[in-house]
Amino acid sequence: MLEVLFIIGFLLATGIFNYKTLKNDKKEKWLFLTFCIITALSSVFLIYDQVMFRYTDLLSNTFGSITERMVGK
Amino acid sequence: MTSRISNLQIALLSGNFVVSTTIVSVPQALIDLSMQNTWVIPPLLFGYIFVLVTIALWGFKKVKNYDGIWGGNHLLARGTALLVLVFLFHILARDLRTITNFTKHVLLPLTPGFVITMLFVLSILYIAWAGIEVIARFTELYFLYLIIIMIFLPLSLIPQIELSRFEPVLGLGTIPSILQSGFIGLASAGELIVFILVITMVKPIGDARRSFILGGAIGMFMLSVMIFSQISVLSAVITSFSLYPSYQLVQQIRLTEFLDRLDLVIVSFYYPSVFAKMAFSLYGIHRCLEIVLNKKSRLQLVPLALLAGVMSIALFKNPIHNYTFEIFTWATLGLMLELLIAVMFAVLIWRIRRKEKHSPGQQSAGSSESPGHFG
Repeated sequence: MLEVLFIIGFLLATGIFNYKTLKNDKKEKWLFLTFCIITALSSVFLIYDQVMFRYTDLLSNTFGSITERMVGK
Repeated sequence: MTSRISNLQIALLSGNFVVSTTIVSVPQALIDLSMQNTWVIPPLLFGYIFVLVTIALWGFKKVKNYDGIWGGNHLLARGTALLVLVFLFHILARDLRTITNFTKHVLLPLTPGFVITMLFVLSILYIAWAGIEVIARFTELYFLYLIIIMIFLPLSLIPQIELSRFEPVLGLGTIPSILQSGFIGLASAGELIVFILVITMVKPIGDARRSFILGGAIGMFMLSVMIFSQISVLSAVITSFSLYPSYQLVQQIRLTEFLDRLDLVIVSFYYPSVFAKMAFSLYGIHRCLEIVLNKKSRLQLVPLALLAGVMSIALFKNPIHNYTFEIFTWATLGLMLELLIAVMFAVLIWRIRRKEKHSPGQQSAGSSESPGHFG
């Protein structure tokens, strides 16, 4: 939980320190907000850590099996 | 302001990119497959680097308006940038986890992994924020230390070196194992393809291809030295069972009685090179986004760096899961992405050359600055 709070706090602090830049540039503001939301949502995976393992397992089952066939393991 | 990097800097950047995190566990995987004959692998990998760079930069010298390559804002450039982004994001997440695991195992066993990852993330964010010129200068400085240390490594281990550990030397029966081992190393060697992102910043640009190949040669030379040292000092059997054989090798150095922890000094010289690699990965991700979104801004670096840190923890269950991804999954996934990026970049160059041929009047009217050129 502390990890998630650290990530969100860091993003908020970045937003506050760059408030003037974000206020003047609309496109930059939306881009920054989008990336912050993606990062904040992804940080939840630090708590529910089984979710992202499935992505790595999927890659391993697809590409890792090709490698294992190539190297004969 | 347009950023400029020299040919020497691009050579050192690409050499560092190929070798800095690769030496943690890839030599072990190579030695596990081809045992005492692994010294043959780096020259083969250099051949692959040569072919990959030649494919990617086919006809590059004949392009007249280099800024139009990434600044042209066409679909193929954006598609290539998106592919490089996916490639770099996996590299960054994997490297962050690899180096966090290494640090936790060797230096800070009681510190939580999240804290170590965030310290790395903040360090690379600080370097990447300053732009490509600073990353290049940082690499130029610290990669030279790493080269010196690598050359010093076999010299300081001369008393422990036993050349009989390379026997039996080669033979027809070893060819399959060498090819298998070579396949594992291809993806790690070809990672320098990401430098197509900054190739338009190289001055003089005509020698960029040669600098790429020189960088690959430096990287493969260092990998050769590491493999030679590991086999001759630790033996192929012990190396194939070790998790971090490179660190084990460094621990063997005994220069004097009072300098018995020389490994810590060497590790402290090694880390900046890893930071330089990860900082370039972060910068590259950011530059890809700038090409795709056609918007210059460095503020996005902060959420991107944190996202990479989070993913490096969330994607891998434990060090073994990370190792399996780095060696087995990445060998095929990385290879496919590298070849696809090289071919797409070659097509991009071909398209630009064709366009220049058909509209010679517009050659000098191209954009003066491609996206992502911040100092």
